[in-house]
Amino acid sequence: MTAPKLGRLVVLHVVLLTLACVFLFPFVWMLLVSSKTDEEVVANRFPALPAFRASSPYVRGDGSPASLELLGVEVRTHDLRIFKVVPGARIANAAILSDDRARLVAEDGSTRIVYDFSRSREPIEIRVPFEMPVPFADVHKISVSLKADDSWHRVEAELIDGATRWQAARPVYLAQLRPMTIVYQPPSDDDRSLKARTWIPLEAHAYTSPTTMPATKNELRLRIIPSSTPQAIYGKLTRNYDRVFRAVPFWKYVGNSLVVALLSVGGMLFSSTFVAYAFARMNWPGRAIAMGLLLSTMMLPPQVTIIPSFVVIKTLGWYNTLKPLWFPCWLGSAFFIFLMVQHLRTIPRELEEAARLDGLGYVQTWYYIMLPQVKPAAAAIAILTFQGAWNDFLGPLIYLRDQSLFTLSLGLYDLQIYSSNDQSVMMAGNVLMTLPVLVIFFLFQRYFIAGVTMSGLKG
Amino acid sequence: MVLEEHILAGATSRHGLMSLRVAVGLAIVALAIFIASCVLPPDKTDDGRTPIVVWGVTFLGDDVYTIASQFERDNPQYKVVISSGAERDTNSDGQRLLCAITGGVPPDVVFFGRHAIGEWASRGALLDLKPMIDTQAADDPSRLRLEEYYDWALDECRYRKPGAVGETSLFGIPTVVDIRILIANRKMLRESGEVDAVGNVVLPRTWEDLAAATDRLKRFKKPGDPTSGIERLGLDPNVNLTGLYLSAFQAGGELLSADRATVTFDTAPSVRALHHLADLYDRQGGYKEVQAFQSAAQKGAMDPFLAGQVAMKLENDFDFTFYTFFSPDMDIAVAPAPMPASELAAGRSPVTWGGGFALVIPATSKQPQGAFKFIQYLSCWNSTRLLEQGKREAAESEGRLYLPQGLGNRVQYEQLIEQAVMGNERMPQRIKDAYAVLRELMPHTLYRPVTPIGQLLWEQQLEGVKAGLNHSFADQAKARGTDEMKLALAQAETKAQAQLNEVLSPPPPNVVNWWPWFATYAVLIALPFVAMWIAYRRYRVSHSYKPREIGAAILFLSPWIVLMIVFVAGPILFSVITSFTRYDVISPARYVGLQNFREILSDPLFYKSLWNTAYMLIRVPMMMAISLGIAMLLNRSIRGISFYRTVFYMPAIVPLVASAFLWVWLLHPTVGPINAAITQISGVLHLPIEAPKWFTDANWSKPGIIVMSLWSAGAGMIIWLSGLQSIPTQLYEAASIDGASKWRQFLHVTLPMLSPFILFNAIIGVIGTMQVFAESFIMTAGEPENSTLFYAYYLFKEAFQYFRVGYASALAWSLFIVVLALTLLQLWLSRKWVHYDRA
Repeated sequence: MTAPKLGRLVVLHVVLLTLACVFLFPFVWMLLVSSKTDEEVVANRFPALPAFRASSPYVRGDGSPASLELLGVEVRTHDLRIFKVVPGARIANAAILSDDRARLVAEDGSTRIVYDFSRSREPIEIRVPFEMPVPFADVHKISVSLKADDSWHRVEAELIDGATRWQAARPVYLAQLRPMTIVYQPPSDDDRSLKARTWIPLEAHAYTSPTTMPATKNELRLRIIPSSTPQAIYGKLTRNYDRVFRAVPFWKYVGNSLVVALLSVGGMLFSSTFVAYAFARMNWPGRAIAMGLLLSTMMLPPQVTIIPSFVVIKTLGWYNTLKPLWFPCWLGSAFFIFLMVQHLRTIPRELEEAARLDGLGYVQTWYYIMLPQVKPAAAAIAILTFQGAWNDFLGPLIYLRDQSLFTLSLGLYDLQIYSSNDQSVMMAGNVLMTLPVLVIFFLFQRYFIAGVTMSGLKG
Repeated sequence: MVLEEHILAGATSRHGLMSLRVAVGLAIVALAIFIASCVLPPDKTDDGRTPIVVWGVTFLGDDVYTIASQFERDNPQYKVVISSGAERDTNSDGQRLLCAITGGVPPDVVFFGRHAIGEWASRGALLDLKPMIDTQAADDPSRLRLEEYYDWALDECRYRKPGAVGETSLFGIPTVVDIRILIANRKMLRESGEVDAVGNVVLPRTWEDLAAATDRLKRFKKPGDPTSGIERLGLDPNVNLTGLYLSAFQAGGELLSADRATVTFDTAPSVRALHHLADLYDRQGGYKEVQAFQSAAQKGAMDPFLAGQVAMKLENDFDFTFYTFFSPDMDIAVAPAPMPASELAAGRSPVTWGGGFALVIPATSKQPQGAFKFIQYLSCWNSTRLLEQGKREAAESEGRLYLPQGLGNRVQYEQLIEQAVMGNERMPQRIKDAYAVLRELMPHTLYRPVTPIGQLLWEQQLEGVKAGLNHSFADQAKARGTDEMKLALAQAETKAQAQLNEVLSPPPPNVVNWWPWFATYAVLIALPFVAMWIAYRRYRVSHSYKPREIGAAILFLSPWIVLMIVFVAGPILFSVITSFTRYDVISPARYVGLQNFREILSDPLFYKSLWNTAYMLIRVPMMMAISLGIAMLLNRSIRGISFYRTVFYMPAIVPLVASAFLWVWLLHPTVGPINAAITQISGVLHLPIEAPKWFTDANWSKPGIIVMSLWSAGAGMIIWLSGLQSIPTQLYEAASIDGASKWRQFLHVTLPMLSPFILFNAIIGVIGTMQVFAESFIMTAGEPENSTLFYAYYLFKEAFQYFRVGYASALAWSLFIVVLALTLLQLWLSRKWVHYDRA
């Protein structure tokens, strides 16, 4: 490569990179907001990166003291009776600690946990024996209230009930410096409902009681698992995404959205190329008027046809199905037909004439001759249709009733409304919304390669 | 030979062709599936139980699912289908419910904004629950006891025809309520010395105290220099939330006469109230200065109250719980909104105004009995307790502080406060104090009049208030020797009164009979084919039409023909017909002749919104130029090009909800980084530039939206990129052999060859811009001063907020004519510059 050529390439990359920073900004911004805690959202602060905390209590960057406190354990029955089984201050006396890296200090109404992970990063276990006031079958939820110490260590729980060991399905991060409650639930109807999964399921395992513990008693075992710096950062980055995953039946919505988007893309590719061929290349009476008609269907604001369109869909029996969202794509859309017509018009006619001479029919000409020529426009249509179908929420809003049919855009729109301005969760949801479109774009943009089409036509 | 070459090329680049062939294959499979699913009977979801469809109740908490399954257990004949509301509120977003009602698939229970009950009930869309309440069994455990509810919350669910007296109906059972209160940043008040003898912070109780405290609490950028601009508000009167209602109610005014047939904005108490509001704004630099402190889109990070830029604010009690939810440590004091001293002296206790939600049953519900049973079930104390416990667990599991929301049921609300707040030893005293205020204030709440024009009444009073606050009528009033506030309110009253008169006048006599129109439709469908046939016969020779080619053309057109006949033409014909009618969707359409079109000509908002929309057209060439520039940069094969392309496309795929959030923050007048940068730069360079107030300034809101759309020009880039592919490379080779520079190549090869795509982008850009909607729907709601009231949004409001689908259709067709003219002009001009391959 010659020096001036190299120089030009460098300049080009510098220009592109500079512009890329401007255009990348929204995405970076969304990522940043999606990793914020409530405190950072309210203060409009840059999200801080957590680091390994060897011990607690400690003094935070802003001078406020942080310590981990247990505020009590409650049991809620299926018929909504609530029992405070272990008051916060009593934990200090009742609990047994696994080793001497931690100690418990009774406070007014709570128990402070003083821990030190500087010697070893093994988890510390706190065993809280208590007496279950009701038969275990009646227990709906077991809530552990604590004040987190913003250390981003994790709390894992186990509940011993006779010959069963109930293991919590996931640990919880000790994020922020706030009182919080961890709700544990043995399997119940809730697991099959569409509720936001704010609880942590308990999984049953067989357990042989050691002789030291009376079989009639229950025991709650809380393990504090230290988070190394990368683990803490990972926890913070994924926390709001986990919330989105648990707030809605995420994968079900993704499935519905994919069905709609992929069928729409397939349909639009077919219908736009197919119909446009008649407009661009065939000679039939009324073509100019029909073209005008095609364009003019785009000119009426869609807001005035919402109601009659709904009545049409309802009459077809498609209310509360996904069909109204993708089927019309198979019949075409004025926008994409027009785009394809404009594209077909740039293709030299010699190609078809040759095909005609070789005895190909119209459909064959369309399939063998025209389709290979329209790949770039088809890629554009695929990308735009996918994006449109993926992001559309007005269609799903009107045509879908059952939540099990909701698309991701509608599900997340719903979440945004009901999570009352929870900015960080909203942005996490939006990041998740944009990723599939990015992938589709990345896959299809390779059809936009300069100067590979139409060579050697002079023939 | 060319053909062989091509089939060969097709064979070698088979891989590239695959996706299209797969798509065509998929097409056939999908069609087969589709036809099968239409022919086969639907799945047997019907298990013999009667479904009760419930919308929007998830707002009450996730445990509605639990309540639904308990209800099913206790009433095995029913099956409850819970569907989220997914609407911001029924008033600004009612099209989902309107569609379902019109389509004959109404939900059975809807969680419904109470302020909208007047509009829907007056049109016969809601079921009167009174008979069912009166016939409840005395021993029914989930019996609704109306005496437990706040009277005002029930009254807000009662609609009587204006002028009518006597027996009242009840169209909804209140659920949550919210009221307007004064909140204050206690720390700031303490610093400013707003304390009593023992050092407790004291909030103003009267209008006069409030004005004085505002003066003491406000801070200018340069102390003591009002021209330097305001840095901290003493008080945000928040008229967008409180409107004229709060102050007018406090001064003893009503915005509608007692018989609800006359709009009464400009009565003495209301005029006094507006003077008081204007005084509060003027003390702090005027309405526009104060408005810059509003959190334009959503709350949270951008809220100036949380950011410590506002000392006191008139707010919703719901927002108080919201602030505490996210920022539990912030010390917020709560008090009743201050009253006029004269009213307090006359012995009135502080009053406020409130609103909230109710459970309603659409009149066409197929299961009114079951629906009512479910409402009873959902409204009883056991359900409330379960819902609130669930909300509490959900909030606390996220490290947030649960605080109960106001309830229309007084007994339940007081019980809830007792349990969750007063009896909670971990609850800070300041929050207990706040709830004591709320509990005290709740019974003394007034509400918006229940009228068929509720939404318009709200908007018109707000317009009057804003005109007053901006002193828009000061000169006119001086010339006429009247009070400017009275004049502003009188002006705003006219439109509301006109519409009320329209609703109250006897409906036009001619109801639309749709059947003849179906026949007309059939004729209209046949017409193009007949015309085609005639044209074929007449021009067969001169246009060299070939029957085989025409037959093939019809085959190729067939999907589009089906689309037109089934999905497009019918709704279009419908909108033509409704443009000559008065039609509110719920009751039958009635012909009014050309009245809608005549009304358009004298409608100032028509001209305003058309101008706003036309203004946006300047973004079309800008977006085209930027996206073409990017496409030219990216139309090359260098390493990493796919990365760059993806990055440049990114802003176009960010969902508008997210980018709206981002831009409202970026362009925020007080906390936004762009204005901070402008201020910095002009400060350093000593330029006399004042940073624009963007979305809070009527002159800058449209440029703000244009900036926003320019940045997402990447969508246009794709179309350019696909167009650039169709330019044969030999043209460039030939040009460079002839010694043409890059720039000349661009002018003489690229642009002419791209001309079909330039035309496409221009036509689509104009059509799209003339229909710009989402920006005002999601971001600005037409504010400020209707400067972003775009045509399609205005039309949407007429159709779905004011129930004037007939007028909206007339508006749509007027726009259609404008856009059609613009497009024809472009097409006509394009003959001179667009290059097609016409060989």
